[in-house]
Amino acid sequence: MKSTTPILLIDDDIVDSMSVKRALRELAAANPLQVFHHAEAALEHLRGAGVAPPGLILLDLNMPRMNGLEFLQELKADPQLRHIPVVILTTSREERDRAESFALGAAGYMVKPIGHDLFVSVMRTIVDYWTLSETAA
Amino acid sequence: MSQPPADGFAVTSEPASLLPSVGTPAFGAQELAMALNEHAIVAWTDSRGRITEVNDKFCAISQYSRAELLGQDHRMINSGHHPGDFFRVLWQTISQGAVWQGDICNRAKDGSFYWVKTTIVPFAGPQGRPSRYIAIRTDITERKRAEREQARLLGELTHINRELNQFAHIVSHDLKAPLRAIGAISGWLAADYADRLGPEAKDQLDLLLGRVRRLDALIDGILRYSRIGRTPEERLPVDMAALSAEVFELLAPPPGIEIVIARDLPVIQADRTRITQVLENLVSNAIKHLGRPDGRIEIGGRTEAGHWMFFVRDNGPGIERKYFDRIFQIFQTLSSRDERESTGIGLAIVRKNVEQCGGRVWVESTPGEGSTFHFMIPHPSSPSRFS
Repeated sequence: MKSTTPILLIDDDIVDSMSVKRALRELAAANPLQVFHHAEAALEHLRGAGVAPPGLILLDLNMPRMNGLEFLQELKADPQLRHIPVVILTTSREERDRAESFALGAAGYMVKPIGHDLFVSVMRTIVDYWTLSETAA
Repeated sequence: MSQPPADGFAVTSEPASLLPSVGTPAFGAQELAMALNEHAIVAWTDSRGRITEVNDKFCAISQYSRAELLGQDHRMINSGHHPGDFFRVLWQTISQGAVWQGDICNRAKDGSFYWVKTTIVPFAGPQGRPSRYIAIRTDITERKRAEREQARLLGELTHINRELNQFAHIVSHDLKAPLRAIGAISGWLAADYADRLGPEAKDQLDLLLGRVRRLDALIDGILRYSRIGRTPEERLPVDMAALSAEVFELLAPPPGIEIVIARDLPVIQADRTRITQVLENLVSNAIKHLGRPDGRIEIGGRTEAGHWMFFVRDNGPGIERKYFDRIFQIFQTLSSRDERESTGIGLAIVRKNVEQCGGRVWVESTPGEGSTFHFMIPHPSSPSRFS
């Protein structure tokens, strides 16, 4: 992923979205962050004409209407979008959520920590890895 | 095609003579019939199932007189409880000369239902086909009622338990989101306004963050506690010596702490996850409360008749007898949370896990000398498991 490739965040919690934004700023990651509070809106955006695909999707699981797992299922079923890596960023430590996320093709699973410092270190790990990693498209 | 039943009751001349007349030196047919009449509900029928004789117990339980019953078939006491197939199979079995056994729900004259454990024995007539049947029944109405009640209670309990677990899960999740927000924003305030906040305000923000972490730990505790027993038990051999070593390695007690693992710890049959949680919590508890640099933690155990006994012993400050029960209750701590950051969930998790294995946990302690936590895990075949 290049430093100019956008990162897409889908999270209905405004403060969590702010945490991600802030962490990226502190990490001096240049990737533009696109934030969606609803999974349907994100899907609509991704399927829009002429949209540059994000290099990475950060996905919350517990959301009203379309939840994260449903979004993941739709994304991985879409030949145009399935190559985009998705990292789950959630509060759920449930075994079922973890198992299902990976079964649906998630590239990683991170539990949102309490406290900004820990949040930044989780984000650093994610961004470092995906900046180094080559992408499919 | 018809065969006399294997037990040799076949082909007698009179319905009342239950036994062959030879080979019973001690008791005759009369005595056996008397004894049977004291115990069982008995009916004799012809080849088409019409009642030719009943005993007093049959009349008593069905509430019909002998005169009302004779010449009728058993549809008279049909409760409608069983599907048509049930009686079709019954008739198929006995008309082929085989014994039928099963539980039947019947209806008495007043409309009430009763259950009978039933054995129907066919007796071959001159053509070799069953010409008569004897049905011997035992009243099991009370047992059936108890079984139904038990099943109902079990269903209810399962339902309530599931709801409680779901409740704990949902509540914890919903509590965590705002808590994370409070933690994040107070952290940002402290960072962004560092130059404008006085020392007092900084302390207060630190206190706020500390409380956020504490509440987070408590919510995690509820989650961990409610998760115990949600997965089905899987009994496998667990090498307690190896597991003890793993637990110490994972928890890494500070250097200087002496660790003793008894050499002869047995291999037990138990759910590994549960036993691991028991050992982890007991050892981490010991480490946390040792309060001295030259502490000692020892794990021992042995096989006894029907169960295994283990202990985790420390030479920490010890616990007063009056707290022996309280420490195993959820969220009970013996020191204020401001003195020692502790959720008070560890020993509750130990107890729930041990009890899920059918075992027991208790503590022995002398203040100033140390504490020994004992736990007993019953052998899989031990009856005490169900007590």
